[in-house]
Amino acid sequence: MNLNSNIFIFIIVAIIMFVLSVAWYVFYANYLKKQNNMHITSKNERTTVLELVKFDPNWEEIPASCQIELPNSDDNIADALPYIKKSDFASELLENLYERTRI
Amino acid sequence: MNAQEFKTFWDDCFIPTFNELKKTDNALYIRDGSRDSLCREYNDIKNFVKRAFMKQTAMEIKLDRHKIAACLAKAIVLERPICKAIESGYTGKETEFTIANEVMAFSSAMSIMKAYIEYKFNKQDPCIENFKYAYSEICKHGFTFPETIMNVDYKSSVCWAWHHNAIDGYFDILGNANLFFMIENYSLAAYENKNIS
Repeated sequence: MNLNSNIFIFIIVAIIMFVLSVAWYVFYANYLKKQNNMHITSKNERTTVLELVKFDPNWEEIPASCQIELPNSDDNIADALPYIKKSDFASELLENLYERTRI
Repeated sequence: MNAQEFKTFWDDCFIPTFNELKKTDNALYIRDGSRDSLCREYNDIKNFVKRAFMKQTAMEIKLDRHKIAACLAKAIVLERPICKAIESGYTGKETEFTIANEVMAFSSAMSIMKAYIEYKFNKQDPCIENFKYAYSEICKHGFTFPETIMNVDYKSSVCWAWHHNAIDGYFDILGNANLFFMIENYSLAAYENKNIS
């Protein structure tokens, strides 16, 4: 009886340790990984952004997630390009942002 | 967008807008090879949107102008073609990402949408007819933006949001396409109201 209860306690402790290790791996390790990514300091900010953002799933195996018909009327940019001009507010906008953010 | 079309966008919109930005900050420059990489990134993003979000039909899958503008904005925000000279005290840390890229992304997106509207206005597209006056005002004066309660204007808050999205590593194309749709519709309502009063 005493031996059985010891084995029972041992199994319970083992299960708890297993669950905790899985939880640590799933949540805390990912959290740490993200934290490390957030503190990368690189002179080339593009590389950093791409490292953060890029992932390469196999899209051929993933069906389109949106089965409703979204607006799809335009697309052919060749029609619109003859009308494209520079922005008339970019300089002012950057100045406003520099004043507030200094970045 | 093929290479030739992208060159037109680059020469007629990107570079002139960049020259405007340079008037505010002379330390800005365009990274070598960014025209080609931006073109590739834009096409990748556009194809991804068509494949992942649009209903797959036998006909050619198209996007509307708001999604095209959002794809272009995402390409610029991720590619970050505008850099800042290190000597100017800029370190390149992600907390100091040059916000000029977000300004360029927003400005280019607005230019693309305006170009589509001008094209449709000139060919007298039926969808323009109901708001002819408002669309003509957009063609003449550009979009109008909502007033904000705080003293940060709407355009700045969009750029600021994108800046933090880039730091966190994401950019929502469908969400931003909806944002552009709302900007267009806000401008229509604003110009129509002005016309009535």
